[in-house]
Amino acid sequence: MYLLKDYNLNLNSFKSDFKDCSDFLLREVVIDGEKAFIMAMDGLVDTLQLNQTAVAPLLRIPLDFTTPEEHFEKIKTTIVGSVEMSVAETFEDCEFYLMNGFAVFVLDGHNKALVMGAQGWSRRTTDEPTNEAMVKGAKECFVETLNDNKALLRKRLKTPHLKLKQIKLGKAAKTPVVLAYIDNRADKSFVKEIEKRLENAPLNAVLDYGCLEPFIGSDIKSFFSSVGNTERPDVLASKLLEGRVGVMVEGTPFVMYLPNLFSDNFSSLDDYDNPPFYATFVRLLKYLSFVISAFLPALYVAIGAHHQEMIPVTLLYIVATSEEATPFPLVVEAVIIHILYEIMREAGLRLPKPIGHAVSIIGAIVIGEAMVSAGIIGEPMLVVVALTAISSYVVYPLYESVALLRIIFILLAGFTGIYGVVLGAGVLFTNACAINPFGVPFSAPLSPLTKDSLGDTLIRQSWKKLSERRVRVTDFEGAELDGK
Amino acid sequence: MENKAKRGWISSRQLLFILFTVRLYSLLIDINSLADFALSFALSVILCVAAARITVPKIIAGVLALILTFQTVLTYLNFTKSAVHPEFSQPLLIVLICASVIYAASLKIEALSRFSAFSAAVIVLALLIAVLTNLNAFNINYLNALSFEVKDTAYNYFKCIDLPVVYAIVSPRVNKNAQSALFKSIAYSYSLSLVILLFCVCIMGTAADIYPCPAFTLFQLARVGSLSRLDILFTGSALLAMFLKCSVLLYCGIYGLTGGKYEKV
Repeated sequence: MYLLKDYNLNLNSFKSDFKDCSDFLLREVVIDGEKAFIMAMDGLVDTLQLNQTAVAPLLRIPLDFTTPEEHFEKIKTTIVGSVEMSVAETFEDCEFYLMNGFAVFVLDGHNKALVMGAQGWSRRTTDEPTNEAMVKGAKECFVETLNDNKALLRKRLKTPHLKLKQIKLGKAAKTPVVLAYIDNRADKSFVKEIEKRLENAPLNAVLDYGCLEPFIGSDIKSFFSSVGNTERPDVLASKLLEGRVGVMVEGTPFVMYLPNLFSDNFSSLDDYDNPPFYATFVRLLKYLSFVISAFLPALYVAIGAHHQEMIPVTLLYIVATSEEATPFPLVVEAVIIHILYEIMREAGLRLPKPIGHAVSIIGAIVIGEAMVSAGIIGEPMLVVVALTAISSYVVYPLYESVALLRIIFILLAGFTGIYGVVLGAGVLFTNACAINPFGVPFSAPLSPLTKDSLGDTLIRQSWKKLSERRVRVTDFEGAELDGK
Repeated sequence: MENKAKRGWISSRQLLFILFTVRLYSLLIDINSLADFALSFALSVILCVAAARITVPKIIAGVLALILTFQTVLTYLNFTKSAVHPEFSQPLLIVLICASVIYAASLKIEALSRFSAFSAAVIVLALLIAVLTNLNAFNINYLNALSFEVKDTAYNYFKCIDLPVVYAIVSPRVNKNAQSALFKSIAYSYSLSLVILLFCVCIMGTAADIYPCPAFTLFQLARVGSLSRLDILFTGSALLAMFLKCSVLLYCGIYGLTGGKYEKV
């Protein structure tokens, strides 16, 4: 609904909309004989800044004018000192600006409102990232404030080609969401498609980035996500330079980027600070850790239950002696221990930190000592679970996917031995190969395979060679482009 | 922009990976003498030259693909029953294979072609491990024991139509150079198979032609320290290749019988 020229109608409408909102600030003033009112939300604006840049000058400096329109224009151009300023024409726009830390000024006889940036809410400092720690990388991360996140990114990419297009999502909450991309790197159709999908998301409120993920992810149901997320500005900057698109949501310190490829889970910015030989070694370790975390328990169950001939005699003796004393078959034992492990992990995550540590200790004692001593599980199984758990943390972005897959593979191994595990792996990887987030194969650049693509995937090339390459995800073999 | 990828289409290299894996799997499972190898090679070349020149009706290719799908599953089950695990319960495995293959075929040719690179890499890596772990038993003098006896049945030679059948269905959806991929796949798969066959003879001597699947025996003989049974590596990688082959053949079967409407769904 558009603002009206009638002062009282505008005022009453806002008062009615913000009835019982104790944080709604409204002050009526008279400026050069004309009635006006200024609105803001308590806690979202810096009142001192608002007073210095808008309220005080408005009340003190006299103006010459003949019409309300001229008065409004003079206030806008000569009086208000706020850098961030705009004009709103509807009640909805005014309310949106209010919710985002702007002050709104409405003048009698004029059907437009002046909005002035005076944001001043409490904000978290850009501390060290908690989920993406790096040994040699930068020590700052995104925070919950969208403007701060935009600034953090801009600090890294000092170019006007970095576009930060802001849209409002959620029918009720109108959450600001920013599409970040580099206009001469990202495919234009790709950006448009993401924007279209986001705008068509039938959501009432966007409280976290996760609720947008299904609307911009792949259509194919999979354990793997084609939407990546990061809390590091340097990581996002590097992704944008590869032609990807970032999606920032107000109120969340995690930024999504698209497309996320399978190989992205195995590289980190630390790789580029380390010598190539060491970075390559670490990267291969990550691939190995993924295999261990997904398949080791299943292989142990398959070999222990169905293919004992594979185990060397001395090891077979140890396994057999240990399993002889336990009451459950290997498959049941493996499922129980993994579910227990996930319960304890979840408890450790959700509880306050000091209690979380206690849960970890109790968990270690219960699983490690008591269950083995009581003869509920065998010692080799404990070694397998410990190795699996540690490996799964090496490739943390895939943790959620692997946690459930592991149990499925254990069950397959228990019933059909190695055949079930291999077929399960076949189905899993074929499914991953079928995902094409925005036309880019999820399995790229590993498959479709090219000689060049291996340069920064399985191994990490030297900076001399990397600097010659300008990788764009949309240039990978198998990526479908517009105009085809 | 040079990239010409389109959804539902694959590159020549991806077709090569599919055809290579499909043929190599059959060769490793079925061929156990040089004469069989030579006959199979000759037949494959003739059939592939014919397939490259003649357009096989899709419906015929589709029916043949479905027959080959069943035949491939049956061969693998027979292999697991006779060579791997005589006491292994098969009904659950059959259900699992069918479910996996149907799901994979439903993901269509692009997904299958991408997976084929992975499958090919796994089987080649497994063969490399088998060769390296058997090097200490290698004896070139055993080559005198090469068998030129034709042992394979006509039924097994029927399998040589797998490449022309897959080619007939998939080649119209290849960006370019489909023929080159067809002939390269024959060259690569038969070369690798020949190397493995000769290596088996150099390891096993006169015993090589006794085994129905010498490549599998090669894995059985492999030894790394006290780890003496690496045959599971062969069973696993062959199962992965069988899974790919059946999925591709099933896809071809459905595609051929529905006249290409399947890919558009």
